[in-house]
Amino acid sequence: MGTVNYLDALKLQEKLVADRKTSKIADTVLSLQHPPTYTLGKRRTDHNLLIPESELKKIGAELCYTQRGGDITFHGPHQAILYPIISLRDIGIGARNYVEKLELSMIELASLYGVRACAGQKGETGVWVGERKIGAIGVRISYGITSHGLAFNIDPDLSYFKHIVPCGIADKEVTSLRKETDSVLPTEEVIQEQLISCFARLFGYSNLIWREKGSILSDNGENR
Amino acid sequence: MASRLLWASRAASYLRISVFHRGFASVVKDLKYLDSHEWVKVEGNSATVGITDHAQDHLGDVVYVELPEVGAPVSHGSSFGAVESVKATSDINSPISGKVVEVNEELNSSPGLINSSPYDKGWIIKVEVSNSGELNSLMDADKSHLSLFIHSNSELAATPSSGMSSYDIHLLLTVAYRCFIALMVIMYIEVLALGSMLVVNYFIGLHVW
Repeated sequence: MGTVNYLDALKLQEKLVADRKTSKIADTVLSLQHPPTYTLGKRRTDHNLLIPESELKKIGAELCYTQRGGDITFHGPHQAILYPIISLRDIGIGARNYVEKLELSMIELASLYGVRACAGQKGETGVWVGERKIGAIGVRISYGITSHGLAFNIDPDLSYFKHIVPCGIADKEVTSLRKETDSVLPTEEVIQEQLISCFARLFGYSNLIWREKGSILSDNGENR
Repeated sequence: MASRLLWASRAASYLRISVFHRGFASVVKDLKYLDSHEWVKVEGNSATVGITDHAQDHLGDVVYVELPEVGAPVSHGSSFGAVESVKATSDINSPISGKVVEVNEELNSSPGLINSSPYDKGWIIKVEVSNSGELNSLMDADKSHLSLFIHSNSELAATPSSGMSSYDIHLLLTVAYRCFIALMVIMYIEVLALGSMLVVNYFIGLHVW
């Protein structure tokens, strides 16, 4: 979908969740990037933003409050964002299992480039390469329908992360695919498509309908 | 699968066995359930609401609970708050309509109570019921247990496992064990009776020997 303003993406997600709830649409995934934006979760952990809001404009970033889980994080260009709008009840998994699968999608993508990533230890959701975080997750589940999702660092400007305590975990660095691998990276579209393929494979979707505004998954071929 | 469960649990209830489902979601009787895994316990006009053991297991460790204001209205099937775990916030829906009269403030400091004690200390809100007819549309323990079993069984099936689920095996083993014990007791009594009969015979029929 290219670069989408965070608030616009939020509104789109809300509409899609409502449509998915009434089964007007099948499981959908939004694949996009954001302009520099800091976002806070439901817990409103403002204290993890280390600069005052007035400074944000100077560095060209926005701040948004959301209803997703998780702490504060940064989204920006060159970061692959995936917002799956799927019905967990239809596939019969719970929140924990869903988050684990999101982590696995990112771990698989990283391994395509020879980066050995793993899920966090207890309480530290996300995807890590050693002590450095390469992927973040923040999800909202309403009536069994998911919104928000994951953010994978391909090559974002990591200096933005210095202004926050990312995900509320102090003294852990943030890294990106570019930093972790020496191999030549293809264009970001290719990487985002690969991420979607990993995601689709892990969740058992066999039929992917790609649309210019994102991709729609139809959920047959479940391997239950 | 379902028919096997029914047979086993009917046998269990006939023999008055209570089975402890270790490592399996427990369902408490006297509660009513919403299909999104919230329970409600009604006492007179007041109802207590929480989420089931099954739900808390699927969520993972709860780190935050968003509670409604006291006095706020709730309606059947609509969300009144949320729980957060593993970076996912999940809505909690109310099984009944009414007005919130009390919220569990403990959950602000100890959200983990939902995981450790989902039916007792992990209660979420207390509601003054406005429409008691709604309770009839909720599931009770047996139905919800069955749907939970089928639901969780589909997950068990996703991981490589033997034909029967561990719940089935556990239940059948318990039934078999109890039958065996009963048989042993009967045989013991028989032997005792026979023995004492012989002794009595010996004494009264002393002249026979």
